[in-house]
Amino acid sequence: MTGQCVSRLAWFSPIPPVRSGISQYNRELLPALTNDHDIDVFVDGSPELFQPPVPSVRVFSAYDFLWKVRAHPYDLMVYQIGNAPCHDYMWAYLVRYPGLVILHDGQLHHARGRTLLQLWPQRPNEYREEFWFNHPDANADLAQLGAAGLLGSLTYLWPMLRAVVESSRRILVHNHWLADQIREAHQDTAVDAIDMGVPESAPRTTARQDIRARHGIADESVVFMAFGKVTPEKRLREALHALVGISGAAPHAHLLLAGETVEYYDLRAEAQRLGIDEKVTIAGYIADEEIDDYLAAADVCLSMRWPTSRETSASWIRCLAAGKPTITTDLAHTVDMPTLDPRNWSVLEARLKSSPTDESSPTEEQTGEESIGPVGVSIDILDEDHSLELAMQRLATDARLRATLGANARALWNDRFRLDVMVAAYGKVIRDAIATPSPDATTLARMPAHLRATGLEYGGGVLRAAGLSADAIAGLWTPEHD
Amino acid sequence: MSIDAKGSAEELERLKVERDEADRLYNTALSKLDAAIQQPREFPHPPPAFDELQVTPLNERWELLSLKPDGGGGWLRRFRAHAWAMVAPLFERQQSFNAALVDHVNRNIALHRETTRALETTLAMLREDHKRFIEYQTLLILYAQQITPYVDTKDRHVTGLMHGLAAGLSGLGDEIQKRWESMLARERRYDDKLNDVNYLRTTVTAMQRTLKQGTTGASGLSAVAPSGAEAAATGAPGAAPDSYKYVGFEDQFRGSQSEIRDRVAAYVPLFEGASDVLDVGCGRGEFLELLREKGISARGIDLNEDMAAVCRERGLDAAAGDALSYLLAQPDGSIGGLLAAQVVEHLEPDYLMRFLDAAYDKLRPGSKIVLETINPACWYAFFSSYIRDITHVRPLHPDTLQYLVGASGFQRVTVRYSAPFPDQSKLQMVPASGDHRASVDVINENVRKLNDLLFTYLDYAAIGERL
Repeated sequence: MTGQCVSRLAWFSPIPPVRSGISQYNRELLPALTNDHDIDVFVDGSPELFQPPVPSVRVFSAYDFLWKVRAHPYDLMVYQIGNAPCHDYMWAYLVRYPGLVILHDGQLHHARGRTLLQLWPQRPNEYREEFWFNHPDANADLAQLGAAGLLGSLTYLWPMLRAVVESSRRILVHNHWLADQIREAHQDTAVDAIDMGVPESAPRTTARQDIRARHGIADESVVFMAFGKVTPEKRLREALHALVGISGAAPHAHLLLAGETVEYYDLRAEAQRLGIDEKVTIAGYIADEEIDDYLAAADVCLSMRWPTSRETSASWIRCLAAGKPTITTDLAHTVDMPTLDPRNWSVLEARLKSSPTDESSPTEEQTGEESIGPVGVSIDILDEDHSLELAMQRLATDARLRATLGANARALWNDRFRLDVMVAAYGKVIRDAIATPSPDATTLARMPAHLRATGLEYGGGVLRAAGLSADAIAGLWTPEHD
Repeated sequence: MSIDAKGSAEELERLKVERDEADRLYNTALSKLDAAIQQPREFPHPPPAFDELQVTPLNERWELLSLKPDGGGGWLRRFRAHAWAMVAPLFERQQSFNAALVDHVNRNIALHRETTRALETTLAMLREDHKRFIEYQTLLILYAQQITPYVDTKDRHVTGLMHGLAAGLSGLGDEIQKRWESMLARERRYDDKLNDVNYLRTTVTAMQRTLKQGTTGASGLSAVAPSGAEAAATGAPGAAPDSYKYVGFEDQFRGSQSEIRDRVAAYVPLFEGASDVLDVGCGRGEFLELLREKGISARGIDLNEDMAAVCRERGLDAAAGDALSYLLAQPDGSIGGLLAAQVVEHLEPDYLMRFLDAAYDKLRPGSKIVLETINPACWYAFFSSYIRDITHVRPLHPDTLQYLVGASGFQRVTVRYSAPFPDQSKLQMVPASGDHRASVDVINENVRKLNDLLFTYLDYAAIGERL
C-alpha cells in the first residue's frame, strides 16, 4: 500500500472462471489497482465459485451489495458493462447507485433486448419505454419493430445508451472516437477515453513448436489465427473462402481457430463443404494461460469484426503485444491504428484527435517522436471478400512484410497499449469519478419506471398479500442521487 | 389508420387482450364439450322368453265332457247316468272356461314371441346407435382440437412471411451500415488530412510572423514588440519588455480598475461555492478582489511582474509567471475554477491548445473555465479595441473559441456576450414615412444588418465545465 488515502471501490464485473474477454481484462487489471484501492468485487452468483485475481480483492455476491453499501458506503461503484449475459445482473444497481461505468460496447441494445424481450418474463412494454427514453428523437414506432424482434441488424443504429450514460457519474471507454460520440450526444456527462492495455506477451520458449505439434500443423505452414468464440461476427466464413481462393498461390496457408464454437455456426461443415478441412484447425476454448503460447504459434492474426458494437478487441491488442501482423476490418473507431489497404498497399491512418481526457494517447506533436508504421492490413467492409483474399495471399507469401508489420505492432503496443499505462490512467479516472457528484434526483425521476424500481415495490406487495405491513422494508433503500 | 407509437402500443395491448380472451373462451368451450361426451352405457337386457311349458298339456287336457260315462247296464249304468246328469252342467261350464283360457293362451303365444323379438332388436339398435353417437362426439372433439393447429398453420405462414421480412430488413440494415461504416472510416481519414493541412497552415503563418517580427526588431522597433524573445518562442501571453509602459497602456486603453472590476463582476456568480480559483492574466487583481469579497479563495498569475506586485500590495495572492508552466506544475484536479479575461487573444494557437489541455487536467470535476476575449465578430470591437493592443496575437471568433474549449474536453460550453455597444451610438433608423415607406423599410433593414455586423457586443466569454 502507498501512503496515500485508499479509496473503497465496489467493483461489478465478471471475473474468472467466467469465460469472457472482460473477465480476463479484470483479472489483469484488478491486481494492479489494489495498491491504491480497497476493492470488493460483486459477482453474479456464489462468490466461492469465482477466483479473486489476488487475495486482497474480496469477492461477494451482488445480492450482498445492498447490505454492505448501507453498512459502509463505498467511495465509488465501478461497473464493467457490455452486452454479454454475464453483465446483465449489473442493471439492477447501476441506475440506483451511480458510479463509474466502463462501457466495453458502444451499444447496449442487444443486452436490453435480451433481458426485456427474450428472458422470462417477457416485458415488451418495458422495452418500449426504455427505447423511447433512450431515443426520444427517433420515430417512436421503431420500438414496435424492436419489441416484435424485427429490428435485426438495424439494432445497431439505436444503441440505447442514454439511461446508462445519464445515470452515471462518469463514463470510461477504450475508444477515443466512441468517447467523442458519447460526449456529443450527452453533454452533461463526463466521458473519459483511455487506451486498453494488456500485459507483455510471455510464451514458453518451445510454444510455437509445441502448439503446432499438438494440432498437427506443419512447421512450414503459415498460420492465420483467430481468437475468441467462433461466431459469424469474426468473419471466419469469409476467411475460409479466402483460404480457398489463395490455395494455389499459398498452399501452406492454414487457419487455426482458438476459441470455443457455438451451435448455430458450423464452420467445420463449411470447411468440409469447401474441401479445405485439412487446412482448418478448430482448437476450442483456450485457457488464459495458454493464449501467449498460441500467439507464438501464429504468423498472422485475424481480428475482423462485423457488425460492430464499437468494442475494443483485447485479443487484437494481445496480437500487437505479441508482435503479430493483423488483419482487421476497417472500422470508423479504429482508423487511428495505422494499417495497409490491400487493394493498393497504401498506408491508412488517422491520428488521434488530441483530447485532455484521452490520457494515454499523446499525439506525435506532443511526443516529438516519429509515427509508428502500419501494424497490419485493414479490410474495407464493402470490398470484404476481394480485399481479404488479397491480404491473406500477400501475408501468406511475404515473410518480410509479416516481420515489418509485426515489429510495428509490437512498437505500437509498447507506445499505447501497455497494461501499466492503462492502470495509471485508470487511477486518474477513478479519482475524477470519486470527485464527480452523482446525477441529481431529477435525472433518476426521468428514467423509465422499471429502471427506477428498487424491488421493494414487489417485496411490499408480497408482504401485503400475506396480510403483513410493508412498512418494515420501506426504508431499506437509500437513494444515491444528489 | 395512422396512430402514434404510444397509441399503437395501446392498440397492440388491446389486441393481445382480445386474443387472450378469445383463446380463453375457445379453450373453455372445448373443455366443456370434452366433458359432455357421453360415455358407453349399459343397456337393459330384453325380458326372458314367454313360458310355453304348459301350453301343450293345456291343449291336451282342456276337454272335460269327454269323460262322460257310456256303456254298461244295470243299476250301475243308471247310477252313472243319474250322477252324470247332476255334474254334467258343472263340467260343461268348466270345459267352456278351459276352452276360452286355452284359446286365449294359444292366441297370445305369437304376440309374446313377436314382442320379445322386437325388444331384442330395439335394444340392439339402441346399443349400436349409442356407440355410433359416441364415436361421432369423439370425432367432433378431434375436429375441434384440429382447429387450433389449423389456424396455427395460417399463423405459421404469416410468421414465415414475417421472418422473411425481418431477414430482409436486417439484410438491408446490414448493407446500409456497411456503406455507412466505410464512409465513416474514410471521412475520419479525410478529416485527419484536413487537420494536417490546417496545422501546416498555422505553422507556416506562425513562422512568417516570427520572421516578420525578427525583421521588425532588427529595424529598431523592438522596444514595443509584443512579447519579447522568450514569449515569442513559447507563444506565451505577450508582455511589453517595459512592464511599466504596459501598466500605463492598460490604464489608458483597457479601462480603469473600477471599469474592469465592473466588467468581470459578472463572472463571479459562476464561481460561487468554488475554491482555489485561478485568475490567469490577473492584471491589477480586480477579479481576485471580487472573489475575496465573496470568500472564494483564489490566486492570480500574470506574466507581468509589476502587475503581480500590484496585486500583492493589495493583499492578494498573485505570482508572476507563464500561465502554462504554472498550470503544468499543479497537481491534477487541484484548481477549482479558471478565469482568463482578455488573455487568449494574446496566445499563439499551439500555446492556446496546450493551455486548454493543461487546464482540463488541472481543473477538478465540476469546476468552470471562463475565457473572456474581444469579440472580433463585431467590427467596432475589432477595429477599435483589438488592433489597438500591439500584444494581441490572434483574434478568436466566438465559434472558434467555443469549439476549442469543447474539443479540449470541457462540456456544456456556451458563449456569453458582454459589453453591448450603446444603442444611441449605433446607426439610427430612418423614421417611417408614408410617402416612401418601401424605401424606408429597405434602408432600415440595411441599417439593422449593418448594426448587427458593426455594433453588437464588444466582448464575449466562452464558458465550459469540467465534468
